Order: sequence, then structure tokens, then C-alpha cells
Amino acid sequence: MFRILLIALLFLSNDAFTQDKDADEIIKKMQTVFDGIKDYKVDMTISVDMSFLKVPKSKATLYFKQPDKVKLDSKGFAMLPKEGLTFSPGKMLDFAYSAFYIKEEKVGESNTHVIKIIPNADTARVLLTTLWVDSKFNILRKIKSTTKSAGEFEIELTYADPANIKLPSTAELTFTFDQNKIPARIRDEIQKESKDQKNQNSMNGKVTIRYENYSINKGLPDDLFKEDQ
Amino acid sequence: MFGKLILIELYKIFRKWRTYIGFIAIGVLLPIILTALYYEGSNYINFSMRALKGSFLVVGNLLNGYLVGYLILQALIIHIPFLIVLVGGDLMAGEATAGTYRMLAIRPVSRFKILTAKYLSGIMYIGILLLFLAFMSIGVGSIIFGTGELLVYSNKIYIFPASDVIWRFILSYIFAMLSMSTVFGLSFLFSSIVENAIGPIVATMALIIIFIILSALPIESLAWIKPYLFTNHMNGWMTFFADPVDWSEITESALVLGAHSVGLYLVSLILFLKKDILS
Repeated sequence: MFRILLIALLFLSNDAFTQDKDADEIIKKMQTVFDGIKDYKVDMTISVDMSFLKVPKSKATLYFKQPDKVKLDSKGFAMLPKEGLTFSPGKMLDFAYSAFYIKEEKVGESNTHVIKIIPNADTARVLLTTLWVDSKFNILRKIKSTTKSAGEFEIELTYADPANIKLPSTAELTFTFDQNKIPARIRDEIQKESKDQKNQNSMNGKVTIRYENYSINKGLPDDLFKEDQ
Repeated sequence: MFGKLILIELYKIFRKWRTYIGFIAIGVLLPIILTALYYEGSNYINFSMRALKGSFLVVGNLLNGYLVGYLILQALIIHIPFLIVLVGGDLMAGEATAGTYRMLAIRPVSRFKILTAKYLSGIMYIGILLLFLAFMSIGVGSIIFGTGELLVYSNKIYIFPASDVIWRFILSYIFAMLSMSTVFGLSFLFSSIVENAIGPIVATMALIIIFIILSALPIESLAWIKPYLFTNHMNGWMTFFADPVDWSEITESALVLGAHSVGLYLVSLILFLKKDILS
């Protein structure tokens, strides 16, 4: 029912009537750009800001190999959001969907195509995803998604050298976190501290990741991913 | 001279088998806890991190010596008073029981020095016991589990960097020393009044239990009394494992406990100075 309403809303909006670009084609181009990256290794500095959690800034190394092999390595403690972990469009859109071109919009200094993604089946973990795809480099600039289990999240990506490195230099992820997943004792304390969050079912969180020292297409061995895949 | 008095008192303390009950208890209990954590500690980590693991990919060794040290301190610090009063309750009353009070008092050493030496040697015993606890938990725990970030599950989930943990433990143990000194002071006071060690031991424990129950009761009409109960301030060491550290709360608790310790010592001193020793 929710899906039908969303589709109806999209078609009724003015933007939908001005659709003159092929959303599937844009996604395909973006996928082709990402498919050019067979594997990569990158050092990350991760900052987590959540009201019920105090975590130090951590350093970790992320390994990725197509199509979906991932390994997170760190000398100490590190935590990384599972959503949008590898920036793989294929991984993010791993369900049958309908894509709708909405409009052009500026994200920072970049021109982007705004595309809305609606899953075709009720079983998909995502309810609605909006992509902001860089019109010049065909790379993701921003993602906003509403999921069934993990609430809403938004990822904004910046690129240091998008002409040569099609992977981001920073990612800023904001998300909602279901308060019911937090132990009651901690939830009560947080609600005491923050009166405006009282009686709400979710609280906000933010993760900022800085990526450095990309090593792309160096042929990472499969063995590397055996344990942590 | 005074140093020698303290050494004599320490010798007397460590000559009695009951002094070793605390060390034996810790020495037996800790290997059991360490073994249990070795095999099932990951369950605790998973339980504490379950809220996050659905949405986050988590790496790192959170089951380490620091976590073991924290969990053991949290679990045992409530029970350490039971071990301390065994010594504190015997320090003065033990002399009466053994019939050596008068002999002690006729030596060319003032009563003030005798009592102070006994009090300080008791405090030193607490320090040694807590050092043993720290060694067995943090030291042995670090050898077995290694070191790393410390996971603290309290009003929030805290993960402290390894470099930010040691000072918290040091201050926590200093605070625990202050808490235990208050308990010791109480047993020492009772010990200076009576002539049998059992009475001070039981009386101190009974009083602590009453105070803890009063502190825990969620009755509004009793709420006013809680800030005045020293037992209410004994868990102040936990405040060091928060970020930011609430220094005003720690200072308040430290002042309450310190005032109790000094007060109990002074009352014990006055009673001993005026005591008519007949045994």
C-alpha cells in the first residue's frame, strides 16, 4: 500500500512530468564506472557521534573486491555502518526496482541527477531510495534511503579527485536509530538527558569517515576475505 | 620510632591467619572468574554490543585485560568490606582478647602513637589487598587477554581508547581505597570500644548492610537520608569510567568518605585516650 502511494505521489509531482532523462541509463553508467574498480584498499578514520554511545575516533583499513567481498581490518576497535559500506551501486540496489528520474540538483559544487528508486516487491529491505548521481563523472554524490529495519539514512560523499579516483575522500552518514534496540536502562538515561527525544521511537546518529591512501585494482587475493566476509 | 611502630603493627597483622582470608578469597575467586571469562567473555561482549551489531560492522578485541579488571572491580568491590573488617575489627579488640592492652599501654610510647600506628598499618593492609586485587584482575587479565579498548556499559555505552584507561583505573583504586578506609575506620572504632573482635566485625557488617538497604529502598520519605550515608558514596569510583568525568560528584563523595574516615579515627583516638584499661 505504501509503495503504491509513493508511486502515485511521484507521478503527481511536477518534477515527474518533466522527466526527460532515462533513470535506468544513469544508474547503468554509474554501475559501469564502479565496475571499473575491481578491488580497492583504503585507510579510514572513523568518527561516530551517537547520543548513547561514546566511541573514540578509530582507524581501520577497508578491503573490497568485486562483486561483494568486504573486509574491515583494524589494530584496535573500529565500527563502520553496514549501509553504503562499499559504495557499490549493485550492492545498494540488490533488489528488483523501478527507477524514476526526478530532476537536476546541485550537491555542493556538482550538478547531479536525482533519481528515486522504488522496489518492485514488498520483500525488499528498502522502502524508498533517492540517489544523487554526479552528471559529469557518473559517481554517487548522495544517497537517502528509508529501510524497513534500519530506519532512514543519508550518505553524502565528497571526492578529492573524481576525474581519476572514482571513490570518495569523505563520507558523512546520518541515520536514525530505533530506540527500541537500545537497552532500556541506557534509553531511560538518554531520555532524561534529552527531553526533546522523549517519546520518540528513534534517535539520530552521525558517522564521518575520511578515506586516504586508496590502492585501486592491485589484485587483492581472495584469501584475504576468507574470515571476515 | 613511629615507623618502627607501624612495622611492628604490620608484623602483628600479617602474623594472624585471618589477614590472609582476603588474599585467599581473591586468589581463589579470580582464577575462576578469569577462566569463565576466557570461555564465555565473548557472550558478554555480544550482549553489550547487540544494539549496534545489527547496523554496524564491528572489529577489535574488546575482551581484554582492562575489561576483565573493570568487571572484577565492579563485582568484588561490594564484598571487599567483608574482608577488611576481619582485620579492622581485630586490631584493637585483639589486644584486649589477648590480654596485651595494659602491657602495650605501659610502654614508653604515647597512646596517640599506638592507636595511630595501628590505624595506619590497617590502612596499609587495605592498600596491599587492593593492589593484590588490581594485580590479579588487570595484571593477570592483561597477560591472558591482552590489552585494548575498554568497553563500559553504564548510563551509555562507552568505549575508551587503551591510552585513556590506566589513569581511570589508578584513580578508581585510589577512590576504592578511600571507600575501604571508611569501612575500616568504622570497624576500628568498634574495635577500640569492645574487648572481643567478633563484635566489631559483625557490627560493622550489620551497619553497612543496613545503610546499603536504606540507600537502595525507593521510598521517598527516606530519600533525604541517602546523601548522608557513606555507603551511598562508595560506588563513586565508577564515575571515573564516564565521559566526561563528573568531578563535582567525585569530589563530594570523596569529601564525605574522607570526613567519615577522619571522624572515625578521631573518635577512636579520643575513646582510646580516655579508656580505662583494666585487662
